[in-house]
Amino acid sequence: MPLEINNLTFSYSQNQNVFQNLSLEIKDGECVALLGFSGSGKSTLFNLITSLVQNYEGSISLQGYENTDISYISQSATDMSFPWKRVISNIQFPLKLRNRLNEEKQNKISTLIKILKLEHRLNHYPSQLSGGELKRLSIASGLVYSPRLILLDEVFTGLDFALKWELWSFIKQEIKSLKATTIIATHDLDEAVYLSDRIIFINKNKTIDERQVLIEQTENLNIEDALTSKILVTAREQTLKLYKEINNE
Amino acid sequence: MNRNKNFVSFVIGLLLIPIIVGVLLSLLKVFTPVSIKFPSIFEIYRDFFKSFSDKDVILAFLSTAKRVILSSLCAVFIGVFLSFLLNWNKRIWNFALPTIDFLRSIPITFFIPAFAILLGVSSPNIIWILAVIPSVLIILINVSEGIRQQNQKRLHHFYIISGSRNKLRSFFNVTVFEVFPFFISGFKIALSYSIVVVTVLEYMQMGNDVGLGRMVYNEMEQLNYSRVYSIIILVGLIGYALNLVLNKINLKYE
Repeated sequence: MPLEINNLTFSYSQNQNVFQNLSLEIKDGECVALLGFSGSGKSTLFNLITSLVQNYEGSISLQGYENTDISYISQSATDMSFPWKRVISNIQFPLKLRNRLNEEKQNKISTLIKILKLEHRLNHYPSQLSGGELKRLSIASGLVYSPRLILLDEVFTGLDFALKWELWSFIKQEIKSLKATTIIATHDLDEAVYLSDRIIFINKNKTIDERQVLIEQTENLNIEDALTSKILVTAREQTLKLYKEINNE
Repeated sequence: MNRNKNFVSFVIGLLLIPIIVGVLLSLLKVFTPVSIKFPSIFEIYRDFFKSFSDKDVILAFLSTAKRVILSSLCAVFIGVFLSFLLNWNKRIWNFALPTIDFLRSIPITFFIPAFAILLGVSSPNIIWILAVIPSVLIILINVSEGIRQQNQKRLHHFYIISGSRNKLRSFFNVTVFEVFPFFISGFKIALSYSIVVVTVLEYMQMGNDVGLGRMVYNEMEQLNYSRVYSIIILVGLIGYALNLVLNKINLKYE
């Protein structure tokens, strides 16, 4: 089990627990979507996994992962770029920090730039980019070093559906080619059913609910066909029903 | 296109300086009591342009400019070093803050006796050394604010993409750049303080007898007011030139 969280209890203040005995297991290479009401602690869970926040009770075990294997792409793309660096330097930065900027990685950068349509923006600064371009930049810099554990925290919020779909397709392919273990925090049911193998919920008891939705992903379907396919439509309905139930309990 | 527009604005701003100074001095002349002979704007500008060929004025100008630059650079070095040292840990900063606020409230002239004992009243260095104190405190406050306001999410992102929590690494790769705008704004205020302290201490006849402040005093003694105001314009010129350099540096990092 590469990611194992056991009886995690955490609070920012003494009176209110963010999590109460939360346990979660994610298999190697699995993509899990995490759903929960606003303020349920999805981002806090990511902060705990990446050790930004400590002083918790319980255990978080990342078996077989180094610190350098983790990527955390958050919804705030501005915070994920370095405004004093040009777009190209922002993308190369993680590799430079690891002394891994070689020819092979340069090819990876070129591919990312092409797919994420950032070619015409390479010499610009992040402040000169649009919201969508900034998101694409944050995705590029988050994936350029081929992470093995990817945490996506409401990354696609606020994007128009066409760009969102484009990025979903790209992310799905990347996760697959990297064989990365992925957790996606989202409020978007389409995103959850399209990208993940399993959907889990944070319930009002501040723990992971026992109920979950398993999704059998179909290969070689374009996004529009996939989203209207019977499997994903059923999964979406099931997820919505469960989400309502869990929130109303 | 944008660069051209900026250049035109800069030139217009530059041309406005003598006009605004002229208007202010003319207003002073109008409202000054008849018993005081206030010079006309033409007399002031005549003496101002004459001073460029006056060896004594040039020497005084260079001497004052040197003191301002020395005190500012020294303040930058000490201020920035202290800021990072005191902000390495929040607790250290909390310990230091009362002393900083206490020292900030004391007028610099009150430090003169202490420094006079240490360096001697006639020491040529006493002026710029005294000017360092308020400048250091201003830079310290500004840079510390920058450190405390730095984007924690960006810092976290750096830790993730670098795969390490090395504080020194994040300092050179992130903190230095995040703090830079705060440093520049602190440096600008410190520069103004430096000019004020240096010229006032020169005026008070501290250190040796070369400097624009001292020259203002001498010319006032001789009731030569047009020259007094022409020298004051020269003091403004030092501040303007140094701020121009700072703006250029800031533009590079914007």
